[in-house]
Amino acid sequence: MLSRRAKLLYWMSRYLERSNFTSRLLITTNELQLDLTLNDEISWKPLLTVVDLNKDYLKLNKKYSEQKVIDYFIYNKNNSSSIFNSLSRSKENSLVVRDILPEQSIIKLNELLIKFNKSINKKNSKKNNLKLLNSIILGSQNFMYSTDLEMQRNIDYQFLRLGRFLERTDMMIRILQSQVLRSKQHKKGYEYLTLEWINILKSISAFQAYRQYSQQDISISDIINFFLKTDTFPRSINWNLNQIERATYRISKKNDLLKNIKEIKVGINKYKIKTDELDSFLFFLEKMLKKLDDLNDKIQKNYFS
Amino acid sequence: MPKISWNSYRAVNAFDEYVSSENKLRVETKKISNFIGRYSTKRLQTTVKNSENAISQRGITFRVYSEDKPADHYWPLDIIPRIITKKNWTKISKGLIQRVKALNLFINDVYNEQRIFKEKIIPKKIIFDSGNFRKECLGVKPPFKVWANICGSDLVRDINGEFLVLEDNLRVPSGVSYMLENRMVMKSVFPEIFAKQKISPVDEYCSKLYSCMRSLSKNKKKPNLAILTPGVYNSAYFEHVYLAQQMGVELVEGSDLFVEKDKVYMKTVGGKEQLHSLYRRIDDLFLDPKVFYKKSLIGVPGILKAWKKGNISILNAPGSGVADDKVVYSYVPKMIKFYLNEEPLINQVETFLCHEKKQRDYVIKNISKLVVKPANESGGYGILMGPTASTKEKNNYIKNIKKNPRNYVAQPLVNLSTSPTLINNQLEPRHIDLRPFILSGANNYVTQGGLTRVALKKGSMIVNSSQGGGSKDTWILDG
Repeated sequence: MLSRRAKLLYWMSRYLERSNFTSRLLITTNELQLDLTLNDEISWKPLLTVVDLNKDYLKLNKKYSEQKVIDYFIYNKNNSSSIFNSLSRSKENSLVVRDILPEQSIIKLNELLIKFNKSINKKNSKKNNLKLLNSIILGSQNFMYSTDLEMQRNIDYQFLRLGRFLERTDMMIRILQSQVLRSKQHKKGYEYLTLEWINILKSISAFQAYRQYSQQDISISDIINFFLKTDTFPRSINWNLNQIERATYRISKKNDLLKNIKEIKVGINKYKIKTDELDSFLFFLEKMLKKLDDLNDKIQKNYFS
Repeated sequence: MPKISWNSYRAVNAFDEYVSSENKLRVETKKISNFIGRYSTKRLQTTVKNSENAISQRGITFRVYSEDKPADHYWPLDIIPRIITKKNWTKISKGLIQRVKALNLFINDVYNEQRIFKEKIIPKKIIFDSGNFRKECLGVKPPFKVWANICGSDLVRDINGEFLVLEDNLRVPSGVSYMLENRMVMKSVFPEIFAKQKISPVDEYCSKLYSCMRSLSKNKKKPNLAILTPGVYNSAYFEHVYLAQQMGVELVEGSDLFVEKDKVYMKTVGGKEQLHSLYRRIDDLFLDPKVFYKKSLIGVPGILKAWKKGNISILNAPGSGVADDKVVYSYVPKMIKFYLNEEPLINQVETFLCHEKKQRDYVIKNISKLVVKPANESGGYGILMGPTASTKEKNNYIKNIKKNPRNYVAQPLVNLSTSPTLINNQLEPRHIDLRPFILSGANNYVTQGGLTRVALKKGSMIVNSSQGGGSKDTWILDG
């Protein structure tokens, strides 16, 4: 497979996964706010913080408001993490690698883009926004479903998976970060903290799986462990790292990337969560993000340059 | 509910594909016209909408540059098909194969023995003066002595309905992906007709192209094949991707390739891999900056030498464009006679050569009646339509002709045939042409029909999509 095109495929997959997770984050935060009547800053500031966009957002807006943050995350062209940018880049890349992708995947992606572009000129009511975010989640899943069903398990497919799972791991860590940051803003003894964590589970459609897995009273440390360590749930960090490892191995059996991946896996599995030490947990998550970044750099260097 | 009416449909000043000069429906189109005639206007509107949705979902686009800015447009497809009988098409196919055979023998002759000059059939000077002649290709003998492996010949029908060749595109003809996509869309919006009528399938083009590319490769066991594209900003990029996808071959850009010891390699995630057969979709002059245009960023330095050594096959072979010249076109009937000792099975449009004094004088005197074309342009650019041009335009053109007569030819205006086209929910005649594609390698192949292009503007004969043209699915109908 051509290096240039492997790179485009990898990033296309990352951008699409990013649009999926950003949509989920926005929906959850919105629901959290509805359930717990949290103020706008507590609800929305953590989202901006975990993607390093707090400062940029405040340059454009004086205060945190649901509508403004949602618009910023969906449509803002200067926000490199906006869904607009993720989908546009994904589309641009897909144009170049269109011949590798199954016809149905292209159709699914185009349908998603057409729907998204139509929404740009519509009035952005809360209802419309939620509808759009849900259709982005569904659209990107349809795309992936079709690649899973219709692509050969060759190197092209492995790069698609590598991008998808690396982005998913990254986003999962950021979701955890956002909730830890939110938790830190509450006063001691805040009664709905567990409920907030349950909401996070729901954002990635993981609540049901968590209940099946846990078989005990709900606790925050248990939820975090589920996010981090379970190897049976497709959105847990450990499960995703296993997929990254598998895709990397299939691309090439002899490569030093496997060492990096193993290191991250060991770090995740050994970590012991203490819910009263949120700063150290944040520090740990930051360290994991850095390791993922290093892994990404190595992928670029090994395959794309 | 109002229905689509054929009664009010009238052909004007041209051969119409559906109705005779007495405005009676032709026998071969009756089944289809009756079918469409049963549609209510509303149902037809829904069908148009469905076809537009299918086009946008499938992402069928074409790119036009206006003031150097690219803009993507959805592909314009008129849902009323163009119909040609199988019997008629079989005859045309034979004529096209004959023609392309002669053209390939000619190109091979130009770069090798040059018999055609020695026998004084064509003046040597005309060919050597052609902007598409490449002296670097002299002495090369590509596999099967075939240079133009992919040819797109433009056909028109004159007032009597006779098919004539208007030009042969032997460099990088495009449009075949739209022909194939048109069929996909039409099958989805008119499944009932396809189930009942014997419409020749067009799908096999890509597998034939693959076989053609493979037949040219030296490596017979596991050849690496690729399409070379200038990149995503090229107006035909959609087609490059489409063909690579349908054939399962790599789509490469110049920067993905390099030459080492006169062999061409791809840069892959697993290291270098030798390439054996390359369908290039870039012009000769950009192909190899070591030999042709030095500043080309989309070519591959050293590829020409690798090709000359036989280490890679290039489709179409560099230098093939020498036959894609409107002056050379005028000699094709003589070539057929010379190389094949046959009479042309398909005729072409009478052509006046401006470099010959007598003919030039005729052209200048009768410019108002003629269509004057630059010899080396494509895409409908630079053409003067004598009957509609202003005096100023004609005078400017005459100046150009006098300055560089070799670069101009003129033809009488052929009133292109018309076909009913849906304009504001009504059927109206619009002028059309046809571009079939002919493949030549170990075997020859002609598409079943081709891409029918339609001038959507009333009375216009400019069918190019870059200039407001649309398209139709072409149905080769048996029985």
